[in-house]
Amino acid sequence: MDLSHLIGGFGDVLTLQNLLLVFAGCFLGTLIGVLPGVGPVAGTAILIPLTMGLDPAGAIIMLAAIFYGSQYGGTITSVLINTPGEAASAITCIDGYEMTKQGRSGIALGIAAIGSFVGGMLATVGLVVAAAPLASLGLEVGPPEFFALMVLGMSLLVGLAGRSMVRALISGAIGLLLAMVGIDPVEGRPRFAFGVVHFFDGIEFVAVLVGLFGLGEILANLLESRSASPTTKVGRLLPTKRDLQDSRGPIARGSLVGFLLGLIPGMTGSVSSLLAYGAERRFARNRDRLGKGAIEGVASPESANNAHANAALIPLFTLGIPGSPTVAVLMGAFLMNGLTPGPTMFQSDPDIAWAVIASLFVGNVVCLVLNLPLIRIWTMFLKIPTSLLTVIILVFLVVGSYSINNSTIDVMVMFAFGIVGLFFRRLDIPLAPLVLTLILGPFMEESLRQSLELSLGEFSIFFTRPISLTLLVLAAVIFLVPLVRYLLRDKSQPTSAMSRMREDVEV
Amino acid sequence: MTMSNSMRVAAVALVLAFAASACAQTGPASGENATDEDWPAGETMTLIVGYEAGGTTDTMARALAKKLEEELDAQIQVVNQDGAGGQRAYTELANAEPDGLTFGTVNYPTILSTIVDKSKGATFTLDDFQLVANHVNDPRVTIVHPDSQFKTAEDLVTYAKENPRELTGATSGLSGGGHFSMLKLEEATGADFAPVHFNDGQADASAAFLGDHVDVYFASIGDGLEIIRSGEGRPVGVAAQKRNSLLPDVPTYKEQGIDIEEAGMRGYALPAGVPKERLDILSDAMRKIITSEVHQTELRKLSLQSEYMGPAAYKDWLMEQMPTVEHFTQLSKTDQ
Amino acid sequence: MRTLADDDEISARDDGNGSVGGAGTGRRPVADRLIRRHQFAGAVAVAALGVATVIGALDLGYWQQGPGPGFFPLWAGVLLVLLAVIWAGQVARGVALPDETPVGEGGVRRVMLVVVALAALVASLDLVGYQLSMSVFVFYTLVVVGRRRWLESLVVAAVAGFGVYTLFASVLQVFLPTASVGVLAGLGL
Repeated sequence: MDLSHLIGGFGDVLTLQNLLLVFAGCFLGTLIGVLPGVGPVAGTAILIPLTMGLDPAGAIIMLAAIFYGSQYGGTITSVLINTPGEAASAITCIDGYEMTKQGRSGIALGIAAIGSFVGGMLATVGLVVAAAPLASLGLEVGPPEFFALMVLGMSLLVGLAGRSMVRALISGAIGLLLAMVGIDPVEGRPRFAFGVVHFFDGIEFVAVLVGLFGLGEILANLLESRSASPTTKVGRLLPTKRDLQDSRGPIARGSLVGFLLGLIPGMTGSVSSLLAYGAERRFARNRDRLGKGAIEGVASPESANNAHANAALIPLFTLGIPGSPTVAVLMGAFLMNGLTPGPTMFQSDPDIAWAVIASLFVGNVVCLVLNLPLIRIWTMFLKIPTSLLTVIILVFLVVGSYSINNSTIDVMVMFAFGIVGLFFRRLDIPLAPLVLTLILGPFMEESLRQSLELSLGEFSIFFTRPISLTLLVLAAVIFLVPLVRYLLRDKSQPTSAMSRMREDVEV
Repeated sequence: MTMSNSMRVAAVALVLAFAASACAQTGPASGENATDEDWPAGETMTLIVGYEAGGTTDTMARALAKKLEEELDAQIQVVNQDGAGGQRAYTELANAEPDGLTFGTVNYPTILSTIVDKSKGATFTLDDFQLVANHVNDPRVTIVHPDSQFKTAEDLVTYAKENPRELTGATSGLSGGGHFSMLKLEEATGADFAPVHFNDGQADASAAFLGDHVDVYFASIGDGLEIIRSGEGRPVGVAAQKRNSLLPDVPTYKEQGIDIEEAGMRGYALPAGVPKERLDILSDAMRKIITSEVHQTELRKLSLQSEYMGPAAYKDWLMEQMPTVEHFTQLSKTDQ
Repeated sequence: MRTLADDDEISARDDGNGSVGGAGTGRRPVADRLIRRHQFAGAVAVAALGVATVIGALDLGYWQQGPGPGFFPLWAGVLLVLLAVIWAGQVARGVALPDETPVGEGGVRRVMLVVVALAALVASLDLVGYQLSMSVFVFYTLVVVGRRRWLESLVVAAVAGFGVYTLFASVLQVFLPTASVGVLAGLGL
């Protein structure tokens, strides 16, 4: 890519008006991302009319800023109140909220911001340097590869177990079950929907997550008489050198995972953060700390998330394919402002295109600069007296789950799963496996069906295509090796089976 | 813990302010105070969009809503009720008050396929709606790879007939418009394709085609225009009555001797039972906007072309399609 | 009766590690017997879910040129039953039993109150409208469960009900539920 164009783009962006727009966009985006229901999709769409008064470049710059600003917002509630702002932030709840309980919420948010920045920047550099070849790479992933990837993701489930593998598998199986609700991809008939039209598309998983994590936590607190704000101690706001050092690996790995997966149309950010986290839980050196408030557990998914969001712009810009619903909204905004994303974009509207790309760089920096000081303000929420905070969170949960689809059914789902979440906690059934299978399940079934449609029923298609074969073999190894070791373990030693599995793994 | 006095005062003031504005939000109760001549001036209307925010239908509907607000001097709230291929929105619309203040998007073929597909348990029929206007027509176009041997529809169909189930075709959903266009082609010519359905949406189908995972793409013009323009795909036929202004050089199937049509009509409807005067006001306003020149330009940006149909014409058209949709919905579930 | 308000004092004493046992709060650890009972009940529930799933899956097609709609649900159900049995077995042998955080004083009561209130809220959203039902819910939970002051709770309730509604409608273009019952709908609730 021609550097002079990029520099020209920077020139366009670094005007006062456009910079203000980037700031405003980042800020609004963060706010939008905080609300569970009003995620990046709805938020960006809602703000489209707002930007209609601006010139095309300005409008797109602001909307792009809102787009990735909202990636940051979702993290805030995940960390502070264990409530994911969007599906992609769900995984951050696990270690992020633990960190809050340990009085390290500021650090968690800080690392999330830094990791997001790094992930986003790397992806944007990729966009500038090698957009076209990277987009082609993404296209190589067809249904069989997609399926293999999902299976690989599922195999990481074994790393998400806590004290009991059985309970983890149960959690996963329940998630799989939930993933099956809706119109099936084979016959197009409603399945397990009990006549509820809203369930035809499946149970809204953001509602499930908000219920499981957010409401479940509140109910558990009420039961166990802990305060809703687990500690009033906020502590440091910036990560220590040690924290940064520990986060280097996860940020790098997470960014890579997010970046690669973001290139694949159809892959959502939640898959990226899930797989990045799953891989950390399975392979990282300090993996035993994960799940108990390890900074790696925040750094990894957050980097993956932002890398994904920015990488998803690559297929949009080069091919005109929106990789996810959020990007689709951005595409709509582009179209309405006269910019047609796709192969012809750089020929027909080079100035605007490069201005937008330059704004991505600027925007990533702005988001970081904006969010770090805001951490202090967000963490002040924890100082609100318990009973008041609990009720505020409850309002938030109800309004948030409604806003996802403008539906009270989602609120009911959230409520139901809040109760489920309470029981899961009391019975020590881990939540992460359920999240994994719930998110990956539909993709897996859909891509399996598509692959078989492609091959006219021949299962060999998975093994004759090199990428999918590799991924499947990898998945098998990841899943079976520890399982086999577990089954063949020295039964005279009554130590926790999980710790033995973790010690033994070499892959 | 208690709030300090000043905070308390501030809070009370805030509450009063909110309460005041909340009252201001609620305009006159539906239909009671407004005179029928300038209805719906000053009212708040609701537009139910059956698809996700930011999608084509949503964007196009919001654009229309903005113009309608000026034309009718009313406020329009756009509410997304996406899900179940539009069924959720249709259900909501059918049950809404027929006071003329609530209307919604209606897409073909989903409006008909949700009705005829018994397994979906739709609680409405076409008679529960009062069609108001059709907005756009986004017909289906069949796209092949630029380096493929198929230059015309004839080439494609002949090959597909002689080599049944060898050519794979991407559609944007089981029993959707793309699938229908494939089935209609098969029925009319004896060709036999192997469909691959991307139920999550058009983007995945486009990606599969561009990534060379499928041989054919049964797309709509809106979805496929960029692919065609960039040279990544070659259109062999448009399933419409006449040539589309966005693809003026591409012959229709009809021209090539294959009499099939798969339109992509998208329009609006009210719940049945709205008083005729109000229906007329609304439909006149829509007609004015949809047929205006300025609007054509706006639509072109979305790769869409308008095709206005009034209340009666739209209803008739849909009724005509009913048996076809019934037939092909059945077929789509069994022909895999 | 100790209330949520009292927790503010407790957290000050808490060692910040409230998740394990009753270490900082001087409560007895939960009896092994009780834990086993809970775990076993869980296993039974999961088994029931599995059986229900299998039954539901039998109505769906098993194989249609590839896994049919009933394929994955069937095996998920079978898997659930299997795992539930293994789990029950583990409970019987005392393997991998978790620790349980003891239920706090009045904990069950608090949870029940909130759950019932939430259920009422959710049920009345479409009936009575968001503004009214949320205001009532917030007032109730603050006063009855949280034992907070009357006036302050009223203010918060009004903000949560009416303020939030207005904010979402005007700024975010998200329209929270309105009443379907005639009289209330007329009032614009």
